[in-house]
Amino acid sequence: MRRALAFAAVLWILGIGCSASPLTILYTNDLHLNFSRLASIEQRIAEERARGMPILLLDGGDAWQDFRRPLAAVWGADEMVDWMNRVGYDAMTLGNHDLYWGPWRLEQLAERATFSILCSNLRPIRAGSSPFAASARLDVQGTSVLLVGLITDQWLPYPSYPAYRWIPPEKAVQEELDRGARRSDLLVVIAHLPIAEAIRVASEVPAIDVFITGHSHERTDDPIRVGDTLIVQTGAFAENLGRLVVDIDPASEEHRLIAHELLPTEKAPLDVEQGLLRLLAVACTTAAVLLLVLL
Amino acid sequence: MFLFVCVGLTALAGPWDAPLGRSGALLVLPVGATRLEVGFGALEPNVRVSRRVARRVDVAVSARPSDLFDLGAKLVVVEDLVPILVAVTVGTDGVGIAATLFLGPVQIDGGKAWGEMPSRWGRVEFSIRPTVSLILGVDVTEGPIDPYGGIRLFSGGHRMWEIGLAVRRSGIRWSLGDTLW
Repeated sequence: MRRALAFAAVLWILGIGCSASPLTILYTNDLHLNFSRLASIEQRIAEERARGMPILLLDGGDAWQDFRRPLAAVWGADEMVDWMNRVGYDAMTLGNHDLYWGPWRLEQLAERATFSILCSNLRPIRAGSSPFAASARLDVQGTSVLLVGLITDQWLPYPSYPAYRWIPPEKAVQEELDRGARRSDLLVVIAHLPIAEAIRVASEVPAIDVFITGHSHERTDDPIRVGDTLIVQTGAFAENLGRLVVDIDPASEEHRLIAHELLPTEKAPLDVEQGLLRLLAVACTTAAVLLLVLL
Repeated sequence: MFLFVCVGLTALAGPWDAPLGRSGALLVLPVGATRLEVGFGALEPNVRVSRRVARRVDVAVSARPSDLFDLGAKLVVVEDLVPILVAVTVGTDGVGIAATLFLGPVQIDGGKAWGEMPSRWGRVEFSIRPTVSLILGVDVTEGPIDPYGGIRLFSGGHRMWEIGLAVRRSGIRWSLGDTLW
């Protein structure tokens, strides 16, 4: 009898310990190598970490490539991954731009990253041959979070990735759930998808709790609700850091929105010396090849 | 779209023919994968088997009525300067260089070969959907400039199996390709 009472007391204490626990999700999307704002984002992240709350730091894709920034484009991918490592990203999904350096470069960058690179709907034909995973499960100070990555089908460099098959996002998420992955307190989809597409996917897969989007460069000052799903996006080019605080009850697996805001960032001067040298090397190689071919 | 690609001349044969024209420096097969391609139609038929034997190396054997055995290898020599990649090709019919400017959904390839049949080529491939790519290219051999347009259709949203057609001045050339991996 005493043993049973002690057991009940332990369960009660554990129950209190596991009841509603706020989780802060910090998120970015479509950074597009905008190094001039990274220092400001880093400062915002540090301020959030200083509060001592459980934090999840995520990115919605298109982080390390942009042809509109030729200087940064030829040298910046490694630096972007290093920065994401340093500030402690937990995971990112692949954007179409993140595939634009080809499969070799993607392997190198994935090896360099200390965070999870996720994409569930660009599926390798042969299992285990991909540098990224479909999903990841994280334990954030007692909260079990399942992260699933998604990518758009727009502007993908398919010819360079013949061994991958693109599948519809709602099908990919549902398959992750069917594999038993739902046994988590929170299901967060990091998707390089426009908001309209996220609304459609959330309608078909209502189990999604949080839907971080990208690709369309839209901003959500307030989360868009589809059923119980919260859909958010920061805009683009590192202009904002998204902050979403949710309260999670592990017993009921229900979540409640506590706060959401887009924290604006500031520009800072950028040292481009390294970029100039590398861009010059690319230009000289291109010119040499052109001369060799044309003459 | 069909009319758009209806320009063309004759195809350039050789060990490094892509399904619808000559290719660049990017090796797209996974290491250890073998690809079989068959071309027929307007030009002489050919069969080509290629295999990616190492990260930077492809080898290929091709056969056609006028040249029953053609062996070659392609070695990528510049890969760290993405978006540009450069490869050298060595074959029984000569040596050459190939380059790729890799711009995501748009890929620009070009190259030059020295040897029995000196040639230059360039092509642009634009990937518009998981199952469709459009190609515009030009081959320059001893004769006049030889432009062509083509379309590649892929099955199931991946690029292992495909059917392609190229429209050239001499007619339509078909190709089939599959990958064993």
